[in-house]
Amino acid sequence: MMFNRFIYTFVILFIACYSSFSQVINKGILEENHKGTLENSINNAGGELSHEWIFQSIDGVKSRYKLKLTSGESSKEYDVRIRNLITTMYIAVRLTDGEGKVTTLTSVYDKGDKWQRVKMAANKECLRKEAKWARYNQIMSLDELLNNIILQIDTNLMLGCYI
Amino acid sequence: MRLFKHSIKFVESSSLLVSKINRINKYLYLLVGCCLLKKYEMGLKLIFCIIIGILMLASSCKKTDNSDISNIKSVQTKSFKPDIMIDWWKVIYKHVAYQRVKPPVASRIYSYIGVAAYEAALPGMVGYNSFVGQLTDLDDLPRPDPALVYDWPTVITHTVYLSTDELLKRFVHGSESDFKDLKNKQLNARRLAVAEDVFQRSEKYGEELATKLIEWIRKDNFDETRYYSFYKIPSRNNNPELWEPTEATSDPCEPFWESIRPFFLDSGAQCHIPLKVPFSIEPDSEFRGYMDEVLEYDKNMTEEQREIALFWADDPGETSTPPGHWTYIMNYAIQQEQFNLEQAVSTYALVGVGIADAFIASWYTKYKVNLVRPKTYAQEFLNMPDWEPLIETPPFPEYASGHSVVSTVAAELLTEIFGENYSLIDSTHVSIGLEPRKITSFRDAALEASMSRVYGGLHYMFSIDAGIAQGLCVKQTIVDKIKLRKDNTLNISNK
Repeated sequence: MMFNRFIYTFVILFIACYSSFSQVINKGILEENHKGTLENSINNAGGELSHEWIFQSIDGVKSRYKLKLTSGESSKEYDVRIRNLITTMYIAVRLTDGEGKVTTLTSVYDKGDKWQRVKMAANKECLRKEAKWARYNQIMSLDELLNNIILQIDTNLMLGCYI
Repeated sequence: MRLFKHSIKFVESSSLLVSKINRINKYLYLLVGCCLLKKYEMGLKLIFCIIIGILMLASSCKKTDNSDISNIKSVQTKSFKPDIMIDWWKVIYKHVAYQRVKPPVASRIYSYIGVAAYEAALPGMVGYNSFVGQLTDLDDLPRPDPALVYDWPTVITHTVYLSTDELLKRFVHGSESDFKDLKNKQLNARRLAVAEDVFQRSEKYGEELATKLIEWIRKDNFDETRYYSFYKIPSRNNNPELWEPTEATSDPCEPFWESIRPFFLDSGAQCHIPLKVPFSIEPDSEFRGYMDEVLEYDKNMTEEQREIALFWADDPGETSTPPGHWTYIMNYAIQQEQFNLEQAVSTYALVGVGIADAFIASWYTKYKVNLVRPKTYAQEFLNMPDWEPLIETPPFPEYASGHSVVSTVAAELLTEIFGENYSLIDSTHVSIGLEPRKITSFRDAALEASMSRVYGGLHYMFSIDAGIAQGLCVKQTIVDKIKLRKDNTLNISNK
């Protein structure tokens, strides 16, 4: 009887944990491509900004991606590195400006408390006035994480600055 | 009668000597006694000889007599490589990271393992002193029979295994089979390398030593601080300068840590550095200037500063924490210099207790000053409700920077051992996807670690300066008190 209860509790706990973390922790998810579309893009004068995260390679906790941003006919690609650690996931997007200077946007996701922060020390010339790097709470999936990064890039940066 | 008085006086003075004998060779008594005896008649010589014999016997039986610890019959500790200890560190790092051990608690694990390995290896080391009588409340430890042969790697493995098991049980409420596996692997190898009686004797001695060390470890106030009444965060009403956790889900980290027994410090208050910058939210105030500096770094952070901030974040749950990071660095230097086991255990013990005392000093100041973090300041007083630092703000008060205290102590002690301008590649965080960083000196690395907290948005610059000053005080206190080697130096590397 006790043993059955133990098994039952274990199964319930496992399902609860799995359902809440599975989307972001699932190992395979960081070996796949991801994509999405941002409506009303500031950088595309209210049009769409589509983003594609193209998987390149994985090495331990580190996955490499190419981020392809497409607005209208033009598209640009940026290097992305994701570090999927035990309690935290770091996503770094490397943006290169016209002078060849690289600046990295960093997204930090706390898997336990489910918040995400996006930070970047962008050049003044590339930064919109009143730029604010936001924090998001209750983030439950990798898609949400990636969409938020694109939203922050679009809200705070002038993408024309970057090659 | 006159002779009787002389003999009483002699016995009294000899007894007094014996009570202070820890560093005096017993043969000195014989010499002194024989010189005095020349004055007296033949019959009394016999009585004096008996008394001296008893005193010598008493002194040789004393377990804490450093001069009698060396066991020259056994293969010396320096004949072995430090590999057994490096394997232990690997297992310990993993558990500290996975079990999300808090940095002050981690410092305790590393320091106790360092002391345990050192005391286990000590009888096989010439020219080193025991920590008995040096570390707070460490008054006695069993010693091996100098007439018998021991295998020091077996003693170390067994002592470290039992101590680690105790520490992990105590600090993170669980014991792991990894430790048993490593112990069995190491002991099986030693069993094949030495005679069975030597192996058995060494294992038994390791157990006796660990038992006594664990008794001492258990009296460090850690358990008591678990049962102290809950820490009440001081109210910030009318006290805007006071700290509060920046995440609602975080409990204050180890608010009673100053009550933990230090190794060399008298108390955490010994190296307290008072806050000299008055709190203010006025735009032209000195304090506000420091806050603006944090925001300036945040806004104009270079790629290198960003990398430094992430590299030294040393987050619990992902890494072996700052004390673990410095233990990694220590091990890179130990391997690079091809230190033997004797040199390695001496380094672990010295730097380990230094870091642990650094935490006690740092935590005393943190909860005494209880200063608000930049995140709270920016959000509350600068109308920046969305401002977040790059690195997650840890759940303890701001002043002074703990990373600065700990890194300064570690770097200064490592500089004593390995020298200035010692360069190495720090690959501590390769396993979490960070590139190795080159260290050109331990001091530069400590400065980088300290500055990482300003780049990361966790500290004001004055807290870095205070942390470095506090670290220098802790290091100097240890150097002034410690008698690691009999020649009173810290010359572990024999350079």
